[in-house]
Amino acid sequence: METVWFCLLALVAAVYALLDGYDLGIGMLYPFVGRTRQQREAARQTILPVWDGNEVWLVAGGAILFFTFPRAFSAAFGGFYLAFFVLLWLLVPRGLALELRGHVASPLWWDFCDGAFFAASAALAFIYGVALGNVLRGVPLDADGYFFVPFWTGLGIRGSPGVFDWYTLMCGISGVAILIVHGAAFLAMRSTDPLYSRAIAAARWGALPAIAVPAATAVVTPVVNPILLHNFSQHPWAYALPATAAGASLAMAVLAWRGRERATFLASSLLILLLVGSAALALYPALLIATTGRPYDLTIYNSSATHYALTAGLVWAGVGLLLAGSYSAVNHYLFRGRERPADDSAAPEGAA
Amino acid sequence: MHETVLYSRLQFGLTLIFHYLFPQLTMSLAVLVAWFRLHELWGGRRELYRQMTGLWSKILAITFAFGVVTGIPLEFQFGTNWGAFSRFSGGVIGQTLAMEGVFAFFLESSFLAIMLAGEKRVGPTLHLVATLLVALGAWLSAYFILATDAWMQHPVAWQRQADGSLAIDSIRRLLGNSWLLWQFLHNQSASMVTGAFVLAAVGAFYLLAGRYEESGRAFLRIGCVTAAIFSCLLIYPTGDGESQQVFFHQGPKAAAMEGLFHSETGAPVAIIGQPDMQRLRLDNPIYFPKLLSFLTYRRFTARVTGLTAYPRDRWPDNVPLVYYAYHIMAGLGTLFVTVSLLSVILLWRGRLYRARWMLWILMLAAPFPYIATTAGWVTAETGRQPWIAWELMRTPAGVSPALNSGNAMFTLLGFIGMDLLLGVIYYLLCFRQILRGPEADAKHAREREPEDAHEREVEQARAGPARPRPE
Repeated sequence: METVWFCLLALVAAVYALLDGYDLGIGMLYPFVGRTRQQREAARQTILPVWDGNEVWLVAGGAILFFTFPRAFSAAFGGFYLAFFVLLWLLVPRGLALELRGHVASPLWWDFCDGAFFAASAALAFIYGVALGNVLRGVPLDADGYFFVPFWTGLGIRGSPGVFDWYTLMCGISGVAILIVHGAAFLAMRSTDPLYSRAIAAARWGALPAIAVPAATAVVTPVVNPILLHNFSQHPWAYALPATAAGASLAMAVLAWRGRERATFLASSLLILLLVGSAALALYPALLIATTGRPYDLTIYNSSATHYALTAGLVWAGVGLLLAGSYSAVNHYLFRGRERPADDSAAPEGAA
Repeated sequence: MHETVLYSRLQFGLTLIFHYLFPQLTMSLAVLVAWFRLHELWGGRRELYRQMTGLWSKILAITFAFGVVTGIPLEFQFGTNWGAFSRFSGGVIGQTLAMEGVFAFFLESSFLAIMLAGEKRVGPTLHLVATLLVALGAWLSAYFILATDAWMQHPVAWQRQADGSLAIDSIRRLLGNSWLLWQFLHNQSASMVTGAFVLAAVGAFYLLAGRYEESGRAFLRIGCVTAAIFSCLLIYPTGDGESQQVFFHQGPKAAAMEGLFHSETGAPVAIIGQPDMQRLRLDNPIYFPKLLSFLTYRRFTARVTGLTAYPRDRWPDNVPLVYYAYHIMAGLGTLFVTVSLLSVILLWRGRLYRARWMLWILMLAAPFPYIATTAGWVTAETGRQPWIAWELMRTPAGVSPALNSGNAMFTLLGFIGMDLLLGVIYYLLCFRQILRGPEADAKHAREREPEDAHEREVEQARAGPARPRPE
């Protein structure tokens, strides 16, 4: 039962990264691809109806971690205290800038919202990469099952590193690089020229760092934390996951260069799912790896709620997540198709 | 360690109070907008209701956006600041928190997007369905989060495990917590009162300013009637039911709320007075004799237990705050009944729209439901002290062990700054929308084929000569 929930949590995390990933990618590209107000509005319109539903996967994931593995929840949220509040302070302006931009017709307000949306999206993409890096590197759990990491303590990974060290910074840059291509492919699927060709160009050139940086990060990962190799050496078939991820990233680049936006988006989605999947497989059965020694690891066995909580939870959460998936599908279906920038000669919004 | 607890409590209190300013309006507005929409589709005076839906959907959208972004920090803070409590109780209340995410948030967010995209894109029927589902999602969300709070007030369905933490033994008993029923009804009535007073205040503002008078009259009519119904429900039976629970399960809190320091037979209700914590009595009191005994036990001579009957370490750590918060809430609740019943009588006699003094009162009343709900929550949560989970865990024991006070203060200051900024932006956006008025969409309306030529003529005659836009 613990394993079922571990898989479900990994799935929720992967779905979140996949869905909100393109929101963040578009946020990072937004000032560059949208050069007039109408183009920016068209770019924003591609994610406006879905971003909030996408973000709920994060909220739901946090709450599911809380009720399935309370010890891991309280350790992780307390330990990454500072990082979590930075994350919150970025989620707030990101959401508000998206939702409120259309409510005031003034260039001042648009600039303010656009700036907040871009900066918060870029920082969030980076932070998510850093977060994954921290989980992979491990944290200094004490005998009580708590830890606290500062922002940084120098950039080395040995001793007592902070949230940011050279390895997690690499992970952060990987996150940014992958999500730029992911967002560009989504934007290309949902837009017309000139947004379309700019999105394709962004996917093409963005694909190069989106292969290089994550590949380099993946190569150094076992050096940073050799424990992560354990499951792979026990079950060599598991190497199929990172290998397929590498294949997906190559396919993503080739398809981007050919201008096949749908296929590129599928490849980048697959890449994100497989990266989260590989990370989960490497961690299993640990939720948080202790740099202070393996007995201090928080695993799915020593941090889980009771059997009743997990089995009863599976019933309602199973139903609930299916419902959630179907709402998300309905929304993506209703708001499909390409957004056209409004005619530039039309009267500006709000001037009536 | 002491400062860490203090800053964490202040931070949770601040973010919670600030967050709840928004949902209390969205829960009621979602219902009201769905009602306008129903009227627009199948009732009379469609153009008027269409404009009303337009204006209040925009306010709902702005408020919802603020509610969503200010709500996420709350869930996170269970782990960041109250880690020991989360570990202790996550096996129980993690369930209701996760249910809120899985059942309510997905529903709300997805259908809000459909609702905001507008009927032009999805058609009027789907638009109405989406509005109803948003309202359902908002009310479900309230139910699950109140179930979490009800458990902290009155823990049920738990078993202690070997490591000292708690495990749930029945989801049904957790969701059917006896505390929850009255709390939910009381809270939702309060939310409806907030929405109704805001609606009436905007209507009064329009009439007083001599603009959009047709809409203003409709806002007043619906607002005052809704306010009258729900402010009565607020006091009886929901307020009465809730306070019975407090008296039977949380003696020290009840005594602190009433400012009853010593047990008394035929205890009075203190209308006003200041708790004197040195001499343990109320200064400058005005009493309503024997009423407290009657309200609590339905007998004027019943004995009511005072604070001094309990050991000092079980008193709420801030008795005056609990006392004042409760009195502000109850006092304002009484005022709401008076104001709304008076305005309904004037409405019935056909004099409300011309009674400028009453319109002024209604316009200025808008902030007070917010103050009352805030005071109510302060009563409930500071009155729960010194327990984070009633008689199971004390608040200082619940804080994250690895957190130090410097970091806690850092994030507290950050939230103070952010919430100030957000508050200003929210106020400006909503006020601007109200100034623009319900006819801001009138251009759209003219583009649509009028359903009825006569209705259009009437509408134009009502609107009078075009007024310049307030911009």
